[in-house]
Amino acid sequence: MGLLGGSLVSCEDLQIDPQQSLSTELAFADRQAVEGSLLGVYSLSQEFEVFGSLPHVIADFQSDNVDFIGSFPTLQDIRLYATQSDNLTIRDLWRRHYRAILAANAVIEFTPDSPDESLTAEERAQFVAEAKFMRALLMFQMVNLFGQPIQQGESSPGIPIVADAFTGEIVGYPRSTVGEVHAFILDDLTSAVPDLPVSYGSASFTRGRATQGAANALLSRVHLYRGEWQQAAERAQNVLENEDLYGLAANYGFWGENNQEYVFAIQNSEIDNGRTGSGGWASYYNPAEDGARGDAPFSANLLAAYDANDRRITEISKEGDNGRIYTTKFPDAINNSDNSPIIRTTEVVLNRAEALAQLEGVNAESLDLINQLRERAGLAEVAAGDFSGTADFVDFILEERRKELAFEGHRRMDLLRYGRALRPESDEHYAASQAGEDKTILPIPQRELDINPELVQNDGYN
Amino acid sequence: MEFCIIKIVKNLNLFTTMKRVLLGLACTMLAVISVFAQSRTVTGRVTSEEEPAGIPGVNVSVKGTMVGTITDIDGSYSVTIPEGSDVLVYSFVGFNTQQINVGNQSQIDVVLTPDVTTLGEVLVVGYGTQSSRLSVQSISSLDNSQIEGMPIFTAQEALQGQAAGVQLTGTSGVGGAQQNIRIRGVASLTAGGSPLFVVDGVPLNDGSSSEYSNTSGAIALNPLMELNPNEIASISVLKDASAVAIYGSRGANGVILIETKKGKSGQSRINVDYYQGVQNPTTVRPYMSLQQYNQYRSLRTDTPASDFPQQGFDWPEAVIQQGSISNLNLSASGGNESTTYFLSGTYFNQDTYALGNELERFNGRLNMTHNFSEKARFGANIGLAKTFNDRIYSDNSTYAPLTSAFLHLPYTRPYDDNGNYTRLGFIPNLLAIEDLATTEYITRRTTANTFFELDILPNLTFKTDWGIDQIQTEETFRFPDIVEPTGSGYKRIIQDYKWLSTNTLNYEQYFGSHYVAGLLGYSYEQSDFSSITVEGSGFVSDRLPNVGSAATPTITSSTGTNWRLASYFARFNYRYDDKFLFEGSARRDGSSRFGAENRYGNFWALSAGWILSEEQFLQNNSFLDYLKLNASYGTSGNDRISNFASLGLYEAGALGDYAGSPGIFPSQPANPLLGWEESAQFDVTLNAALFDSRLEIETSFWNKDTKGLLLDVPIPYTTGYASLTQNAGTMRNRGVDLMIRSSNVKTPAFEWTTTLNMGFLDNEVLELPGASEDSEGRRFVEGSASQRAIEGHPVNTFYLVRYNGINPETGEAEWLNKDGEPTNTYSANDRVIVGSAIPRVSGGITNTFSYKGLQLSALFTFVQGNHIMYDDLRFLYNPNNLNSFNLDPQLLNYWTEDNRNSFAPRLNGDTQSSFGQRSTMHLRKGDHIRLRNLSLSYTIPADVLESTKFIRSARVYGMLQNFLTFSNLEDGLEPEVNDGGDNNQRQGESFFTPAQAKSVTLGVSLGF
Repeated sequence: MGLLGGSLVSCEDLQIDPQQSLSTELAFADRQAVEGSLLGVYSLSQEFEVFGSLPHVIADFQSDNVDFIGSFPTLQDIRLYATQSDNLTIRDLWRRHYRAILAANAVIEFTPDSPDESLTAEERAQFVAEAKFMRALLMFQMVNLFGQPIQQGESSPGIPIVADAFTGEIVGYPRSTVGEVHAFILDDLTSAVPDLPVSYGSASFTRGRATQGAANALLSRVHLYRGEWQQAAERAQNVLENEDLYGLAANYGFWGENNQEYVFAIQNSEIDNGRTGSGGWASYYNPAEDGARGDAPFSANLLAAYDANDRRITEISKEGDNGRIYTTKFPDAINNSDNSPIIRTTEVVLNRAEALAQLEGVNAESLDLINQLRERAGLAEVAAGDFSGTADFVDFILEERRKELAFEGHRRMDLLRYGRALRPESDEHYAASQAGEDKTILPIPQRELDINPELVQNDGYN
Repeated sequence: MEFCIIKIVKNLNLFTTMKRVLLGLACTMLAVISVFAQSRTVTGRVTSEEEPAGIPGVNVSVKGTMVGTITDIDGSYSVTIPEGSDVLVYSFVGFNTQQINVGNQSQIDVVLTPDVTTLGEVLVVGYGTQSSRLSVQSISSLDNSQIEGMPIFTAQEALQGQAAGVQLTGTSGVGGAQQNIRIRGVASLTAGGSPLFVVDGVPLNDGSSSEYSNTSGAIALNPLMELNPNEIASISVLKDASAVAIYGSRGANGVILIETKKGKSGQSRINVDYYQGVQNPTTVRPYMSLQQYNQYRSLRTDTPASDFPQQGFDWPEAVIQQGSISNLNLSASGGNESTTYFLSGTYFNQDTYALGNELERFNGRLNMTHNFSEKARFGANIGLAKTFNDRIYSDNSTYAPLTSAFLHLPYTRPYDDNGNYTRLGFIPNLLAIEDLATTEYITRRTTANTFFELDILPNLTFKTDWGIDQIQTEETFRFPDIVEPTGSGYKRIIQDYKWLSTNTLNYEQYFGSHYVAGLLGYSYEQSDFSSITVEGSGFVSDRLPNVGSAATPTITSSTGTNWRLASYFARFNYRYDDKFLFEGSARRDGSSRFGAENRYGNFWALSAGWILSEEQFLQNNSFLDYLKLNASYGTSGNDRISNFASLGLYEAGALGDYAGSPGIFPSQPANPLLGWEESAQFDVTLNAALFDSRLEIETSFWNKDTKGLLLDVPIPYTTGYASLTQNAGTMRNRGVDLMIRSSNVKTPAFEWTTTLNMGFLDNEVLELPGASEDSEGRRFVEGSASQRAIEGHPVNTFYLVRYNGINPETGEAEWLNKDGEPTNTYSANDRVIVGSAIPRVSGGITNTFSYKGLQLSALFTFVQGNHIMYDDLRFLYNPNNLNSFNLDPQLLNYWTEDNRNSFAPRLNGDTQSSFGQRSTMHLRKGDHIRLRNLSLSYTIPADVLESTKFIRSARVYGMLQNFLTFSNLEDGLEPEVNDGGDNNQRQGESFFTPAQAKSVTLGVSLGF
């Protein structure tokens, strides 16, 4: 009869809650949830397609620092300037960026109204400012990839500006111009700076969350890319002034730690990182025998840029089993715990040196900044007399910038904003890689065009 | 008037009883009013050639009356014939019904002959059985004779080419890979396309793919993997609305009912069946030899070939081997008047042709029934299985032997000069993986039900059934240091405990010429799923197998989820004169998966049939034995979406946390209106038997419209989400199912029968509101980079740039732009519709020749009208992959002034970099005919066996599977592939998907 009894179950509670998720209404219900939602924005930015190396490796494959010895067809197409608008890797890159941007928008929109009264106005303002910093960082990376550099014109098409949280209404956003996108980014950043903390209680947050230093450093980069040298130099100075927090590391042993060299680094660990089966920092930039893909070794062109005794080649590179030279900036190909170096003090130093050189020509402060880097690299100092003029000096600074920041995703924009080709003259894609050429920027994903008639495709992809 | 039905029930287990009851009824009721005579008693025995000792359970009825009995254990019977009757009807499942004029006889012994036609069959239908003759449902059924001895791992494979309107596509040659079953087309985009599998009344857990396994590189495994084909008594494929509506929310893709074997009262019988065979791939891709590769490399780089490595390794040869398959089944069955049993144990072992891929399965089954009394019975069907799958990666994974063997450069070597394994990096050392790595998938499954049945009234039966389907899977990966530096380990354990309770009331009664039957039921089903996953890296030694020994735990996860389904259902049957047939069924389902507003769905069906051959105007012809016309209309649903698709969610876990602090992120937009997907199907079926049933024809014309398609409507990524699950869109499938069975030659010694099963299918997406729009203004949903569902076209429409070959003048590759003009540079906007992955015609034809004990049977299956995208050719045909991968030898056929009709463009020309891009260059027509099964068996005559005293039956057999394939495909391209598994939106694509196996097996079957 137990059988019969058991069989006659008539309970019918069909309301079940998920076990791994919260319903949206609870996402800003209290302090833990609000802060969790904010940290979620950083977490989404860890992803492979966001700050997990994909945009950076795409930029590298387009330009001249690395060779492509991989096989992934969508990356191969980018390398060969043969990209089509249905490239799935680019589609996913677009998708993941906007996912993080929309998560930031939700924080910006819903944090002020969180019912938890223990959240102070200052805390709310800080959370909003952090989300704005991340939104600006994400949008800047996007506009650099999908839009021509500002030097090709303020009004060339940029990316859609999405400033609101998603509440159910599906809006087909049009592309704003590059100028408008830049203005939006600058506004987010400048309004965020005063509400951001200088530092946090832990090193991983001080280097891994938005700070005044990080926002100023990013402002410096945005202005630099726009050729607004004065602001670029000033914002860089704002960062470098805080010598307690930021400074050049004495040597190249700084990789992998949260130290003064890092203004902003996405924090990764063995259990929490952006690596996927498709790739990751350590995967692309390490030789295959380390457990990596090994797709992106030094190009001959980059190798030639270094002096033989340059510590940036003798100390932070190695030869793979395939005879190619690889960087050791991202050593952990096993667990992919390397942080993503988004803004380093070195970059800020280079920003200021370059901006001052543009403003003042060959000048003492720029020389000093550059010599600090050369000293660390074990190279002889340079002096004013070594340069024939501003252009020569700026080129020299750019070359130092290339050698310092190689494999961190900067090279492509540093060439494009000066109107230079991404590839050397000897390269078969030299013509296609000229600044302003169609395939130096990525196509708007066909999927988005198909679904949103407001969007227009970049030239060369129709 | 007295009813014999209920009395019959007492001695038999329910299943066979129901069959007999219905059959008995059918025969009895079909009788014409007979003449008057004196009441008297007749006794006798019923035997057959096979069962000279007597057949128990044969229905003996007095024609034109409700009087009857069944034979007892030794086949004897006694029946009182009322006044006015003179004809006895002997009927039993699987035998021709015989009528005997009693006359003055008081002792009548009857020898029944086996019935080879289908009309005598009892059909297993939802929650019951029906006489095939009187059923108004459209069902294809197979019995175990069509399954036995086939060297198949899972039951689906048995359906191939044997059921009209059922399309089966092998997905992969990997051991344990599932077959894709589509019953009358696919009725959904996102919510699963497989039918509901019900074994002995227990709907199986079918979350077979994503949740169950780390599918990275290994395609979905099979939901029927733990069911042994040897244990199957019958398979019913429910096709039309009248058949599936009783399964309500889960019937839209059709339902497959599997009944396992049951015992019969009588002497205990023991059967032993053993087969063994070898397997090889049907086809192997071409690849460059080291010499060819060096030649190509030399041409491309202007370097003498002698500068390149001269020592290499033949990877494909190393990973493709001759496989083996064997199966041993032992079973026993029997019982007495109150208890019957069936007991079976099976050991199956398969070493597939792919290196490192091995399957092993142990099955045990106990089915039994017991009658407490004339009115109460209980029974249990218990199936236990353990499968051990030494599995391989396949398809899009560099760890897949049958992928990477074709990608490894031919000069890459697995061993160094000292004979140690080499560390090969991104495309790993496949031999080291096979030798040193662990890639195991173990499942333990219990599918069981117990039931209790009580006759409340003579014609009213209550049944309560408690069923479970409990699965535990254990997935282990452990890669050695040489493959993954420092070593890595992974373990995932899943438990999916499902139980259901089904309670039904069954009523049936004749009122003169009126027959009325009813079924009322309630069922409740619940599934609780949990998983534990750990992963770690950093091992001191490859000899430490467990994650617990790892230095760094990279995943430590535990998750759970649940769903529930509550259902009310009913069926009503009415027949007049056993000539006019009516049936109605209804089901109301409530599911936890849907939004609060749309939680319940109602489904129903109505059908009517007319047995025309019972009409006077068709009685007087010599050729038509049986003619039935059915029509049905009804609805069914589909609930296969994720458990919480209606809720707006913020997800926690690895994707939300940051820098060691917990975080959450928006993972899913809300859709409180989410509800059932509903398919409405109309079906007209004609059944006919002609020329003494030498020719049987069954044909159905059907139309299935699915509305409220559960669709992940793509929304702009600028919303932060990819899609919104909505009930949007409509899709239509329509077609014709045709079954013809013909006994071409029939002499006492020789017989030749032909059976044709085929289905014609037309699939069209009618509407996709809210979806993306292409440049022609058609709405579509993308399924893969090559295919999409497009309004006005099939759900799996290939949408690609057309490749136009090499221009003989320029030596450059050409494509066609949208307007059909040749171009060297194209864009994604030049893509057009170029075909569909859905076959328009599919089916099988079986020819069986029997001469005395010898039987030769050949099953050809065929498919026409589909296209297949061989995505892997993008790699093999891609000149850019020089020095990255091995390549197709056709690249050596490049354009030169002297070789203008070439495969590849001129060396280092302008189109070399785009030559490998996705286009129709990689698309093929999938039309093919395959000799699926050729079998020869010999049954040793009974008189020879008699001398042994203990061997009751003996059969030896040999089979060839997949031995011949006729198609236009080049060598190396297998037509039965599907790297998208069960994904409805990605069908007919291959990425190095392993080819099907062809096998030779020999077997012996003995009965004691």
